[in-house]
Amino acid sequence: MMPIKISPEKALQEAVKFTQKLSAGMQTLGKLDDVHYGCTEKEAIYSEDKLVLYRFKSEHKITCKTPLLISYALVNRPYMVDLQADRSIVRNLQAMGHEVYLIDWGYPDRSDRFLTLDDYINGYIGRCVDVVAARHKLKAINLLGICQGGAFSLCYTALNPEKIKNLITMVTPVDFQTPDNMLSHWTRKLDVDLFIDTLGNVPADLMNYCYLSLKPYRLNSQKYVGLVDILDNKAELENFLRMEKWIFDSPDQAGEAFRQFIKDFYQGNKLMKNEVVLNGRRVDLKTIKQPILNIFAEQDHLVPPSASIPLKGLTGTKDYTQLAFKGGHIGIYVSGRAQREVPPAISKWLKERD
Amino acid sequence: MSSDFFESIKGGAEQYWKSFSDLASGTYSNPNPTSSWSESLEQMSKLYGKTDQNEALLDQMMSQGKAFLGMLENVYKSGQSSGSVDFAALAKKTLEDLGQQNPFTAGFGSNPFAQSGANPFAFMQGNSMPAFDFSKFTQPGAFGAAIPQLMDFPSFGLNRESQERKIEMFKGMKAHFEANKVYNALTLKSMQNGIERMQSKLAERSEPGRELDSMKAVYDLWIDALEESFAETALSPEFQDAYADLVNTKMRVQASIQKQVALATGELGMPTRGELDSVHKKLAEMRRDARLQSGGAQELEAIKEELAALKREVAQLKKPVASKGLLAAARESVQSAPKNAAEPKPAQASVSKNATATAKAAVKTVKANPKPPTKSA
Repeated sequence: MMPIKISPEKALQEAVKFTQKLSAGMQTLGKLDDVHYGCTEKEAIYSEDKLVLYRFKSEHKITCKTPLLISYALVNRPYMVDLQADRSIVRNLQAMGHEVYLIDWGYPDRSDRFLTLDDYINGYIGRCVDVVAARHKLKAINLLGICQGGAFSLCYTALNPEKIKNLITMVTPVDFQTPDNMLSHWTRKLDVDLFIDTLGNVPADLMNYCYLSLKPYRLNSQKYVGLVDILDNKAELENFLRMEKWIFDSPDQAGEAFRQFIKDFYQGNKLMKNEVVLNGRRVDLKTIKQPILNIFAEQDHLVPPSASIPLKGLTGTKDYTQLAFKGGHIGIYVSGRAQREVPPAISKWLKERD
Repeated sequence: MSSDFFESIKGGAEQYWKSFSDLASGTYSNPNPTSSWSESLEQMSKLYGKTDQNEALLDQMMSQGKAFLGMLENVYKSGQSSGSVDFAALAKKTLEDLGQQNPFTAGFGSNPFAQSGANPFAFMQGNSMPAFDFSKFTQPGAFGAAIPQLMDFPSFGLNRESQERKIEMFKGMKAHFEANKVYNALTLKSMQNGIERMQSKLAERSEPGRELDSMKAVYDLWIDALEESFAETALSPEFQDAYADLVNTKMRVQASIQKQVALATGELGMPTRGELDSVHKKLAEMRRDARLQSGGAQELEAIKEELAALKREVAQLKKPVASKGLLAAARESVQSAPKNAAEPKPAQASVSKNATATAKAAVKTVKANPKPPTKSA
């Protein structure tokens, strides 16, 4: 039996159909306006350098006493958590009675090259936590760290345990040297000193290139061939374009922070060993006694589950919950399944500990 | 080859181009049946034009669409000649068509790194680094063939330092060229392994009911095979070394070019990157110091507030002691102390606890000494 059961006529039909779809799609593309993102109204309540701390305005009654601060990664823009009305973790959490704040790191330029990890973690995150806590007259607030922002949140909580009530980590790497971690594998022998001394800040395009090359055929080819199937659907096409914008709308990386992140986290795997030092203070994960909810994505190619799961057992908490999401690193924020599963799980977990 | 075969190919091509011409509502009125099908996409993008919003997307989609159509056309032609699709031959032809120039190519001729070739740092070369083909140095009789030897000569005289810098740059370029070759060889190997992997995937689908009945399904399977093969290569120790060499050599070249540029701009009286970096570094340190001082001042204010609150509470405690006697005051204090202060104000929380502890201690003292305290006590 032949594995490919396609007659030449069928191939011809498929070609014609493909061209037809493409032709129809060209007309749709021509009518599209620029896509917008960020659906929930928000107000800036604090700013410093290029950072802005936002509070999302809610149409719903706030029923949880403790507000939630989201700390996103430096490598992408944080509006992924509030991409559009039907794909917004923020909006879903609001509907469940939570007050949500978000740190927007901004776009670092060369004047920010010397920002260190301590500046980001104890400095920027620390002051944002203080601002939110002061607004609510609380000593401790809830912190949700995403990806690299999750690693930062772990460091911050370990060094400032009295300021965090509950900690949530989402797609957060903890063990940076698991065998299936391609990104880690590639960075292991980089001369990162030479890299940063030469580049200063790390260009966003270079970061994006690196991410695309982790799955070169799927992300550079298949995605765009598959796009033809949704070209006649304006709403779907806008969703696609919004994602494209997010993927490539990336900030440059402040050089010194990047140097330390690669050296200590990727090359030294020091978070696992409690050897990360920020401004002379050692990050010991055992000092984290707060309840922890660790959410990871089962098909995550950037932060494989094996990198997140080891958090269990590394901290000093007796209240540890783990949630495996069936999806990838991006789908965990924007897929339909994510909207149905992730915010309700976070909300329930937080309410039980409010 | 029979004339029937050519007629049938010609018929199919005409049919495709007629469909395309219909789609274009006659605007594209001169279809050439001998043109490849992917040419239709070129015509289509001309018909519909581009906007700022969709230009990049269109380019990417057209590029991948052409590859997909090329694959369909190849299948059509190979199927017409043999009655079935020979994947291995098809993949081989694709590689031949590419001339194996860029090994890092995806599904039937599309290029996942179309903008920058196989080298992830190629785009950075931009205006700063001229394309430099060291392979030309190895051609017999070429003038450039002598350069590698010249690079080993010692520098001397007035221009010694300048010459050293240039030699360093050339050596760096050569090292990067070599690193690039190793990297490309590995990606080529991964693609060749991908073809083998695809054949085994196809073999799995030989059972009845599991056959692939559309070219899109073949394409998707082909992408799976390529990705799996690439992941295997990319996670190998060889690739780790090759990747690091590629990046590190590129950075050395870049650094040596930047050094030359800094010297040149410095001679023209322009500020250099090094000077700006010094300023930015000092600025970062000053910002840090300023925040430390500001944080310290805030902390001092908080301590002052807490102290004032403590004094007020102590004063409150002293009043009933003076008027009612120690035992009554202590009892009153214990009764009035909050049993469960769910959310005390930060500065008051410790004060209330202190007050309760003081009162309890006073009660214990009184119980231990049954004699009623005198007024003077």
